[in-house]
Amino acid sequence: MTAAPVPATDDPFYHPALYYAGDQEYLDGTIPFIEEALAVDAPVAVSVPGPNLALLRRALGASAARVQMLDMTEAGANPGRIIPGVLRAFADKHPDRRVHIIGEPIWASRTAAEYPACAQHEALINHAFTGRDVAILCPYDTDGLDPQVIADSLATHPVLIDGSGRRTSDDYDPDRIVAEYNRPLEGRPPSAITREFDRETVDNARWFTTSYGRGAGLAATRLIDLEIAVTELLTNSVCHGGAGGLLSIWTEQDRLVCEVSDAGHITDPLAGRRPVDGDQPYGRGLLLVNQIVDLLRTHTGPRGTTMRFHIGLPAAGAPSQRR
Amino acid sequence: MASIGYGGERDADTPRASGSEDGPLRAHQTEGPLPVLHVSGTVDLNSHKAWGRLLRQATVGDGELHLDLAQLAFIDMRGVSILVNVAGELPSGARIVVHGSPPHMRRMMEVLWPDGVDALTIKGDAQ
Repeated sequence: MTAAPVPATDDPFYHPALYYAGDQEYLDGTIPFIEEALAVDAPVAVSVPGPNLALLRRALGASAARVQMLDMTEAGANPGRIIPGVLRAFADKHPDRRVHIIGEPIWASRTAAEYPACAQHEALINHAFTGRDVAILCPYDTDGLDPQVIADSLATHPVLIDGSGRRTSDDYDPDRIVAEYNRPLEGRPPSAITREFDRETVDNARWFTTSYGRGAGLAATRLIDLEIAVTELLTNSVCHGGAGGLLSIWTEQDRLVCEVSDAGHITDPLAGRRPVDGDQPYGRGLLLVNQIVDLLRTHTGPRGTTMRFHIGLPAAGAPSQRR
Repeated sequence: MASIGYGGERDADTPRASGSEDGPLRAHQTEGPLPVLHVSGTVDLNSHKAWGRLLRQATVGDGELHLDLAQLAFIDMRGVSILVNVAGELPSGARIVVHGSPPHMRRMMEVLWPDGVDALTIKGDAQ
């Protein structure tokens, strides 16, 4: 953990949840936030799902050109990528200005596999931006989202906004969410191929993984991502996770899944979610993995760490095996 | 090892495949109007030290180091980081020019060093 939360009154970082139902409430809650920033020529970014992006673009008209707009379902498909690849990427470009961002990382079609990393992402934003002159407004769709998602958002946002106004969250407790969603991953399917690896066999494990990916029909660019990602996880295991571990690989639905488990314990929940300068163990390798895979899931504790990532397979028609 | 460059090949003072810390990393230098250091094998956790040593030995002085990585089977993130760090330590005016960079190396540069690195020029793969 980088720092304990500081009292909101001393911290320029502002991280409210905005609860909305329908387009009008969405615009009522977001447009003033954007216009307030534009009025003082402050940098503004919006990263939300495509339909809401289109809604904002229409409402902003010509002003939309002054806002950096990203589709969160693409830029933030992997929740672990959002802090380094979207939020910090924008905020760090404007170190001398107060930065305004609307970030909507959770939408109705988020899967059960994705959600734990989403909830942890919302919690970890608070640590990643403590003390920064940044405002991040997170819209929550009360019509589309599960009640548990809404309940979790009360713990991950110090300030809550809805049609009735703004208030401090009594349930704010982001570390509870980080811990609660650090859950064992479901078991591997019978089709999974599992093998041990250590320092001497990392090269062979990488070769095996890319061969499997090629056989499963991954596109050339995604094969490169697979090769990079598995190597970084294997390397972390050898260097920090007890000298080796287990590598598993399989395909399910429309994706290839690769898992690396070892005896290590990642005690920094922001590992892989913040830009790094030095040589923190795990840090830059996981940061890289987060940016190139479609989903990275983690379960870590004193008894070991399991990391599992997804890389999408081409749509039907492409060659495949072991489906 | 065959000379690919401009003649006058000599073996660089680099490690051999050993299965130990130094790993399967090989290099040789071709002399000529444009000396080129050709590196093949794998840069990974078993050869990081050798890779760093190789680059630091090859970049003595303030000229350009031309690296040919077309025959490199793989380089991991730390291997790329070492290259970036060595380039960052060069005296003013010196630089490293990478030829035949493997596609996964370019992918890592694009993600981790999207604004590029001073004193490091990455050229595409030769194939």
